[in-house]
This record gives sequence, structure tokens and C-alpha cells, in this order.
Amino acid sequence: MIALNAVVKRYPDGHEALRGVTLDIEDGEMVFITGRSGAGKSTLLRLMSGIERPTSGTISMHGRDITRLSSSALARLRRNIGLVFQDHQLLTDRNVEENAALPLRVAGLYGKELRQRVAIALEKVGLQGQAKASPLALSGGERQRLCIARAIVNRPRLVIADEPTGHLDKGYAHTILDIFKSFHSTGVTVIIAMHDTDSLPLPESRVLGLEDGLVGGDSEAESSEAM
Amino acid sequence: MMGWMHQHQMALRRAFSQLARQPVAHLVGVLVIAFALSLPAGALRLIDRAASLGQGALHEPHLTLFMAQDADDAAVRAVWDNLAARTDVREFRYISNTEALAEMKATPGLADAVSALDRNPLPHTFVIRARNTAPQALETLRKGLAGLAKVERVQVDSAWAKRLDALVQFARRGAGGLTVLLAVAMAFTVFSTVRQQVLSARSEIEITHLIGATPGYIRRPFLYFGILQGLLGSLAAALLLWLGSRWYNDAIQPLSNLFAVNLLLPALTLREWALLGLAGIGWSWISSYLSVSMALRRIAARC
Repeated sequence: MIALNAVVKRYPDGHEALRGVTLDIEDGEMVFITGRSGAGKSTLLRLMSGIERPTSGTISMHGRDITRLSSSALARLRRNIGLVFQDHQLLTDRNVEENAALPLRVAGLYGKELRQRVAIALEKVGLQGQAKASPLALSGGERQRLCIARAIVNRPRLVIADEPTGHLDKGYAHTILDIFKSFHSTGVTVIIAMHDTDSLPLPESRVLGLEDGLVGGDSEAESSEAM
Repeated sequence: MMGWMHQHQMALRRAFSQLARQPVAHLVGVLVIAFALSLPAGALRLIDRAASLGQGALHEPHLTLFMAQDADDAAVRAVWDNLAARTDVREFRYISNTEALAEMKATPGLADAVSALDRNPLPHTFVIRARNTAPQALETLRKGLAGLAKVERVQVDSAWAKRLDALVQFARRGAGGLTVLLAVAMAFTVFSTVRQQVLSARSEIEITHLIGATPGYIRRPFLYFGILQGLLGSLAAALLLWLGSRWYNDAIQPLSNLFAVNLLLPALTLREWALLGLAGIGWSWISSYLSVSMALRRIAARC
């Protein structure tokens, strides 16, 4: 379970991206975080994945306060989180297979097990036939799928994706969301930030709306209130 | 454990490939390290050799008493008796002018010159060791002996050694300064080379940082690169020292023979080899550690 309590994030230039966010995400949930640009979605995801630290407040994972962890401990924590970025963050001097294998190498895996896990991850996202291709030879959607393969190759229990459909057309965006849904169906917690929810209807899931650094709406809370 | 070893193996392989990718550029770095190590090391070896010339005289100072050219046996006997009776003289040795001439004849290069002399120009000599070797006591003894009949001159033979020692100390300070300057140059070279490498691998570092690489994991290939550069620099420095010693020994050999003193540089000892290697590798490791840590801090701040 991820629990945020009165989390504030203020950047050195004075900009306050989050102004006291409190929320809980249960294991196995699929959560969409929505809001317009600048609402604080990316900051929230970066804090939850331990890339940044909050200015104040606490973030705990299964009861462990991650804001107090050392840099090395945070790095090890990130190995158990599958991260998907809008801008892909792929190494263009390595092929598809090598890009997908990167988290495994960081975790110290090698040899046959590494190759097997990479093959499975590429198969899950439908890139098994392009293992030796350069990321530069892939389309935008394929690059995003490679980014997802890299995120899941370590078999994480939590996947965090920041605008994974941002640069994709509607058809590809649906495909990407279907991939995330398939992970969720296996019990993986999936948290996805999206700003364009009008053109892309979200699947049946919890939706958290962020407005100016605060949680403006929570579909789960609203439905429990209605009952 | 195997995974950890594999990571080290990969980092080392990567460091080798970095070196192989730009051999000429990295050769310059290796040469800078080699000169930074070999120049002060060579200078210190030369200074040590010079210092060893004066060591015996410094540790056991003595006086040399030269009799006048016209001193006869009676005058020599009188000085002998005086020395034997003195309580401030520990021991003395008499060298007659005949004995001294024979010694000169036996010296390579001087035999012909001595044979050409029509008379013996050398004086009778006493080499005296004092009981008290303090400079003041030596000076008092010198003055006392200089006043004896038919004594031409008495000199304290540690004086030149003291002057040499002062020069050696000065040269050592100079070599120390040179060492510091070259160490800074070496650190700067390794620092900037590693920094360049870190900056060129920035996107990879950012990505591996995001997917869970610890600072140690990210640092490793760059540290190995620095260590490799230091190792190669140390080896090149040892080669330069060996070549320099050979060249110097070839040049100094005739002079060494002429003055019958050992001015030759000995081969590097195992300890000196180890010190050279440790200095090169250790300093390069520290420089690369600082460089990569500073660059990573900057990259992490942007992530």
C-alpha cells in the first residue's frame, strides 16, 4: 500500500507543485491521476517512485517511510517499481533487447535468466520480432511499448507511468492502455498520469483528479459517499 | 555475489573499451601521469644519490691536518705526540706524503699525471677523529692544532658535507614543490578526462539512475577507467625512469671513475615500483572519484 500524508513539494524557485496531498493506494489497484498540465501529476509520480523527495509530509510504502531512505536505498526501491516515461528515455546506441535488459543488469542479473526475462517482457508488449532493432528504427508507439517492456522486465509489483499515451494516436493509445490493463489483471498495482482524458475514455478504474497541487476529486471516495 | 562480480566485470570491460575507443586522446592523459610521476621520482633519486656522498662525512666528521712542505720527521713526530696526548682526540691516522702519492698513482686516470711530476708535491697528513663532534668543539680543536709548528692547514672535513646537505635539503624542497605541482596537473588531467566521459554518458546515467542504479553502480566504470589510466601512467613512468637512469648512468660513468665515487643510480627497488604504482593508481582513483561524484550530483539534481 502507498500512503501519502500532507505531502508538499516546493521547488527552489518557489513554485509549489504539491500543496498537501493526502491519499492511499491499495495493492492491486489501477489508478489514473488526471489533471491539466502543471497540476502536479508528474511531481506526484516522481515522489511516489522516490526520484524526488517531498519538502514536507510523508510517503510510505507498506508502512515504510521512503522519504527517510538514503539515495542508495531509494535506488534499490526503484528497482521494484516499473517506471514508464512519456519521453521514453531509451538508449539509442543500444538495441531493443539491450534497452529492455537494463534494469536487470542494474539488479545484477546476467546470462540465461536475463535473456529469458527480456524475451518474455518483449513478447508481452509485442516486440519479440524486433529484439535486435535500434530504438531509432521503431515508431513512437513501439518505443513506448519498449519502455513498458523495460518497466516490467524486473517483474515489479508496482508500475508507474507518466503520460504513457501522450505522443500517440488514439489507436496506439488504446493498445498501450490495454497492455497496462493486462498487467493490472495479474495483480500488479498500476498508477498512470494522464492529462487528455476527453479524447481517450479511461477504463473502469479509480480516477484521482489533481488541481493546482491538491487532490480535487477521487472517484473511489465519491462512489463510497454515494452508497 | 555472482551478480556483483558480473557488474564489476562489465564495468571493467567498459573502462577498457573507453580507453580503446580514443587511444590517442587517452595516451596524452597517460603520458601526463607518467611525467607527473617520473619527474619528481627521478629528481628525488638524483638528490638521494648526491646526499649519499656526504652522508659518511656528516655522520662521522673528521679533521685533516696538512703539514708544511718543509716539515721534517721531527716536526711530524711532535705533532704525533701532541695528538696522542690530547684528550679531545679519539683517534688519528698518519698518511705520509709517499703513501699519499702511491694512492694517487693507483687512482685510474691520475697515474700518468703523477708520473710526470719531478717531485712529490703532497704534504704529510693526519686524519683526526675528535671525541666531541659538536661544531664548536671541532672548531676549538682545529684552532689548537693549527697553532702547532710546521702545520700548514687544518680543515674540518664535514664542512663541505654540511654545505652539500644544505643544498640537498633545498633541492628536496624544490622536488617537493614540483611533486605537488605535477600531482595537481595529474589530478586535473584525470578529473577532466573522467568528467568528459561522464558528460558524454549523461543520458545513460540519467536513465540508469531512474531505473534503480545506485550511485556506486553508476560510478564504477568511471572509477575503473581512472584506475586503468593511473596503472598505465605508472607503468609508463617506470619505463621513463628506467630509460632516464640508463642514459644518466652511461653519461656519468666516466666522471664516476675519474673521481672514484659512486654517482651511478641503482635500479628501481621493488618498494619503489610499488610506491610508483600506488601513487599513480591511488591518485587517479581519488581524482576520478571526485570528478564522477561532482558530475553525478549535478545530473541527479536535474533528474
